[in-house]
Amino acid sequence: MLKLWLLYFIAFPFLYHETLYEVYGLRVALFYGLVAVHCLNLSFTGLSKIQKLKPDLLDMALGLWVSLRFVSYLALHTVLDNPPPGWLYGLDTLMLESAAYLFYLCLRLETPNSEFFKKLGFGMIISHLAVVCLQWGWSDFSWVRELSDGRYNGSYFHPNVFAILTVAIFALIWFDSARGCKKAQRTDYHWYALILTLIVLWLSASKNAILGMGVLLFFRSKFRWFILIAGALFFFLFLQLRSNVSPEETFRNKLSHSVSIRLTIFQSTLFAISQNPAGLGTGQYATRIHSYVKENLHSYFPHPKQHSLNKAHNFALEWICESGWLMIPVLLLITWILYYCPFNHCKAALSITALCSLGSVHLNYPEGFLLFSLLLAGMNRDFEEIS
Amino acid sequence: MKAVEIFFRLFFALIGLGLLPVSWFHYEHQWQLHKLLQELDQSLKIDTLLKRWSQLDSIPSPLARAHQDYYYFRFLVELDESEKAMKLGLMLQRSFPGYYDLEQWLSVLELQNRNFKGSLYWVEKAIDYHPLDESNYFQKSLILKRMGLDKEARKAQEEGLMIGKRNLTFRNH
Repeated sequence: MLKLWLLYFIAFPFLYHETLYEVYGLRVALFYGLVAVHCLNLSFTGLSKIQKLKPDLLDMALGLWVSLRFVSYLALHTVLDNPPPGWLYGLDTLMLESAAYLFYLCLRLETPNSEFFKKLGFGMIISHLAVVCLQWGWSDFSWVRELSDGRYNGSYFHPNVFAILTVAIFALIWFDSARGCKKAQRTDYHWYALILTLIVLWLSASKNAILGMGVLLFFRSKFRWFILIAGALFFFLFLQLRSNVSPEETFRNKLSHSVSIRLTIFQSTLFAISQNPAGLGTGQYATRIHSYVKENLHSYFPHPKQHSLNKAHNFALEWICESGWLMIPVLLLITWILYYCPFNHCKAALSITALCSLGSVHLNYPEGFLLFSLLLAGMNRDFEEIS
Repeated sequence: MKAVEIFFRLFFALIGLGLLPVSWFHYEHQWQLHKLLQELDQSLKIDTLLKRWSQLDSIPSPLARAHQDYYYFRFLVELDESEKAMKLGLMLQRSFPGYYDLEQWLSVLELQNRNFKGSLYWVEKAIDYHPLDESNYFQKSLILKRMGLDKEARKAQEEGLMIGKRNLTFRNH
């Protein structure tokens, strides 16, 4: 089954077709199918694995998170004001999240090793580069998505999602020697991954991902000052060159604007959280946030169909807003457990994904969320090492 | 031990068997919705809408339901199916106020029904939720003109033009 998942994730950017309504439609449909096959496989052959599994703190905390999502779905249809006109509303989000938890448990039973993640990292980075080449040379191809305002998106929902996933994959490769990464010797393979990631970052023009990568390398590298200076130079060069494309791009690439847009969205979300202790309901952020939107957010997103208006740009805030104040201790508990998990390549990739998600939308979209679940399953659970 | 084994086997088998059709329905739903939107964009006909919609509705997939219903509502308004559209529109607005341009379409619907006061009420609501969307002001101007309030209509139109000019300099993404 692990081979099947490996294939799925390597083919991830190519699982797109223009005849489906959502960009991630095919990826999600196949995901459900693979989880189904995995469950059937476990039912017939993997019983010994199930019996050997000893749930740990992280499994239970994640279980608590899924349960809370389920409770807030029930609350949406029973307790909250103005319930939606049917049980199908919000069920898509709940189903995906529950299936992702099941996927996580299935992978825990299979215990993927570092070789699996090494293959996954290298395979995904190559497929990301391949999809960039296709977007550049064969944009009419119906299995490849068109560019988003000149930015390469790797057939994902947004260029930021593409860039942040690439940085997460890079972290998997860069820190593949599990422990003692500061002293680890880098081979050609690591440097190729670094170059490929920088190319993707440049083409996707994602400031968030560049900052995330800088932070990751700065804190986990023996050449931290060199990385800091080189990273700063790359970032300023990036801002300078990318901003010469057009006046629109100039505006887009001004960091201050990006930050102020996000701060305005956070303000609106915090206001909604303060007004709704029980939350807005699972999967209802996009549909119910508009009553709490602050005046100045309209300056950035005047038209109601602009998608950015429908996302909190911070995974924790979005989940708290949907599931209520109870989500705060649950998220804190998960963070606390993850913090004490011994460092390995999955923890590096997971940290970078979570860090970038504090200012972006990718964990609230299926692609980012599924990769996040995969990384959670690969965490080092040797909790005895802590002591 | 035997009972635990049977429980686990049954549990995973049931989930697996349940998720297989979910996978297919999800794909089918995505494809049907895309086809529906494409066909209706090319030629908007009530027969096509109702036929495709019943096909779509028969697939038990919960694909972003509010989003899908919003499209259905919008097409019903465009096809002047007042009764159905009003029922669905009001239902959606009650649960999801300010979602997309729901209030503006409700205003269009009331205008089609020649209920000017109702139309003005909804467009004002639309302005409350999205004060910098210029199309709301043009809609308001149209309603005021139909009501014979030319001066106010011109004012609303100028406001819309001013806001539209401002929005052009902002990112459209």
